[in-house]
Amino acid sequence: MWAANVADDRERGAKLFDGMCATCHGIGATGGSAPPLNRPKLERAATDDAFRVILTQGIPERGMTRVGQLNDNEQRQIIAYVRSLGATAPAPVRGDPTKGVEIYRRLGCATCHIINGQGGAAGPELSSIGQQRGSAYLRQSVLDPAATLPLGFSGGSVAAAGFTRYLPVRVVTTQGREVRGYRANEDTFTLQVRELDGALHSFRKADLKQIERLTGTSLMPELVKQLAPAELDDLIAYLARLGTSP
Amino acid sequence: MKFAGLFVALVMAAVGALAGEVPFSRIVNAHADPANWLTYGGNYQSHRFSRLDQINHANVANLRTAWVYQTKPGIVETSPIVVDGVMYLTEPPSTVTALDAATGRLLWSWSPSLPRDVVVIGSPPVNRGVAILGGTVFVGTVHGHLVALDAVSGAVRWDVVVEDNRQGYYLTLAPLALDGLIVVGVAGAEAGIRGFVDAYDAVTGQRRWRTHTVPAPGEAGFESWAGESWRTGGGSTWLTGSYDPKLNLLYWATGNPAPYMNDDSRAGDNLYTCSVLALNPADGKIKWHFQFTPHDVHDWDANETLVLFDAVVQGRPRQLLTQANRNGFYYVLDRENGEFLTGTPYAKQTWADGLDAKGRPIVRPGMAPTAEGTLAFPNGQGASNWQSASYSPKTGLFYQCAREMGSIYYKGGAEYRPGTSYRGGGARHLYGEDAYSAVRALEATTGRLKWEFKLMTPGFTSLLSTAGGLVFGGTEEGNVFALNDETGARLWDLQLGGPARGIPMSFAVDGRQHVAIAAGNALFVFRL
Ligand code: HEC
Ligand code: HEC
Repeated sequence: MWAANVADDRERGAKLFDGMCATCHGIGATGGSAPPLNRPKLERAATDDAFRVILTQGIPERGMTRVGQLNDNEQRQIIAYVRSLGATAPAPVRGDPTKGVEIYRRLGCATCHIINGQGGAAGPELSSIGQQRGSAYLRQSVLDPAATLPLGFSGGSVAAAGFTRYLPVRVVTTQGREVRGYRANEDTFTLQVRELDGALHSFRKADLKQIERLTGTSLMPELVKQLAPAELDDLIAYLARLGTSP
Repeated sequence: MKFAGLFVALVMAAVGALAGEVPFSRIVNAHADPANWLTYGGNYQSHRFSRLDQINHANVANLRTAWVYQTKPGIVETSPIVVDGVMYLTEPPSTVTALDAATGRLLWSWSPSLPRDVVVIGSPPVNRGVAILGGTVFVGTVHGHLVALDAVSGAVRWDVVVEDNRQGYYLTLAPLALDGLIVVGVAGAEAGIRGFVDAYDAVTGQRRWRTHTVPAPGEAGFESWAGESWRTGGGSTWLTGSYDPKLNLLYWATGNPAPYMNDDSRAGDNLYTCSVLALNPADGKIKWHFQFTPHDVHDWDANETLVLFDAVVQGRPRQLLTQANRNGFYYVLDRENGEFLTGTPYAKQTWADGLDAKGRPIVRPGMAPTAEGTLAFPNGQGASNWQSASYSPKTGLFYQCAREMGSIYYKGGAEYRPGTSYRGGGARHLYGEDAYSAVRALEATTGRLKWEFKLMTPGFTSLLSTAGGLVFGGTEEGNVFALNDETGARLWDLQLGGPARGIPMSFAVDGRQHVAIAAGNALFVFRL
């Protein structure tokens, strides 16, 4: 009786998860733009109570919107499902993170990314990227940066949930001046554009004769094309470890 | 002795003059009193239109901040009331504050003592404003009370429980003051309440009548519910209604059936959910009803602004009631008898193939929520929602912020437990670059689009139109703006630093017109 209930809970939990969580955490919680949850230990959801808090409040400042529509029952089912996935440890990420550090340095990634206080600020900080993203997503974000521009969320730099961060734009002022960079922020009446060197350009949209949102492109260079498959594994292993407890 | 007697007489005379008092007749004639904003919608017809024209096309670009009032944390969706130089606004979750309308300086502030475990399922714990009648201010609270406060001091005159909050009943709306009556509705359909409209004696707080929005056995409409589903059928009444003093009819809109996304238990049209009711204010009896969305499965509450005006339609003078409904259609009804005249989409919708001659939606198959998820437009928060529309008698246009966005609708399990979520599924909203909203100016008698002004984010933008030829609103990104009411051209904007969820209104003190709107955790007041 009890066992049947637990299995039932998990099954319902899986349905709910696929519907409400998988867009970010991936089907089967294997990771996506949000971290995999098929791990034996979830830092922020160590206890079921902590997990419930995440479900009712989200982690808005880190890109997880509130999932406020779940009742107690549904919360229990989701938690049962996610915990069952962590019962068996997932296959470790291939590659050697120590070698990955070396590749990261060699390719000059640090000119644009800050890790633990070191590096340039043209791209997003990567200090805890392993906690934020799944490894498949990380792989894709270095192989095909344009396919995985990070999304904004409330409290983030672009006003509301779901807008693309680091979106490359090209604008032309009514005087004919052209500026290229990425969108740092935007509202109904204004647009803030940054160049990779950090220079900020602030426009009123009324003063622009052209605003081109270059969707499908990224300002991050495709630096890893020349890496051997094993080296790419090493780099991803390094990134996937950032911010996770050893 | 003589001196003291004179003093008392003077005080009595002053009290007798009743500064700041708002008798019913004054609200009925709100149009003649444009310096004041006496009821939630500006007038009983819910026009949210100001007859002040000091701020106009020529000078709106010179607007500057008169004062700012910092509110409590939370989402501020208030529509202030202003009477003879005093502003009454609400702060989240259920605080009432009186300010000097000229300077923003505090006069008094009152907060209920809320239990720790107050049940608010279905919306954030917000409040949209107060009502005023005589010298008393009325507020609904998130713990399900209706409270009457002395307008001068903020002291409690009476405090009644509308309905048990532990079952999920709570109040976010501005009450509506009629002749000696305070009318309120409740939220909580997401917790499986059974909705109603209530009227209370303004002086004593005694309940005069209650009209359920879900009929009981033996009542008309009961046959539209399967089995016992009516007991937890929803039909919230969480937005302030409108009133026609000549017809003496009260119009109140109702919300979704419960559980909304799992309809297994509630076969039938589920009257009177997602409807508008015309009620007799004397006894609450339903004179007519019109159901916008029979058997709703997408959370398409009809709790949007009910705008009343008269116009010639199809060659005949008509007394109209119109609404831009959450389901994506703009409706024009005859408010004398509820007859459907026209209905037309004002935003993208994919759930219906149109409306039939009676206004009933021709539901498109395959659009209901499923376990796997179904994509449909509008999104779960609707093409419209609580945000106020505005109607300008000057232009004959109905101004509405339309939300252009879809959702994936999921059907889940539904077990009723009092005071817990009873939704039967959920909706994932498709945010992103393709989602947006737009201020749309609709020809009020037909719903035909005259112009639109695009806003970046699908937010909750309430609108105010004015005799100065302006439409004011705010954006989710924090802008406040003024548009030309005839063309939609931008005339003024300013970044306020937080989502502008407040409901704009206008008033005058010392002969100067002001415009107020809340954004983030502050109320901003502008003047020339
Ligand atoms: C909009 C994308 C998004 C959705 C939808 C989403 N999450 Fe998350 N979630 C995130 C992100 C991003 C993080 C990582 C936050 C951080 O940086 O620690 C996260 C973190 C978590 C964590 C903490 C993981 C840890 O390591 O401790 C849990 C648990 C979790 N999510 C569960 C869920 C569940 C269950 C659902 C569905 C009900 C869900 N999430 C839906 C984006 C999302
Ligand atoms: C010229 C600047 C630049 C360089 C060099 C650069 N990046 Fe990036 N990177 C960016 C920008 C801009 C973004 C955000 C846009 C995007 O995701 O494509 C980004 C995004 C990322 C992301 C995704 C972050 C997220 O939150 O989704 C990862 C991971 C990443 N970079 C890793 C690397 C690695 C590894 C290298 C070295 C091989 C590298 N980057 C080199 C600019 C750069």
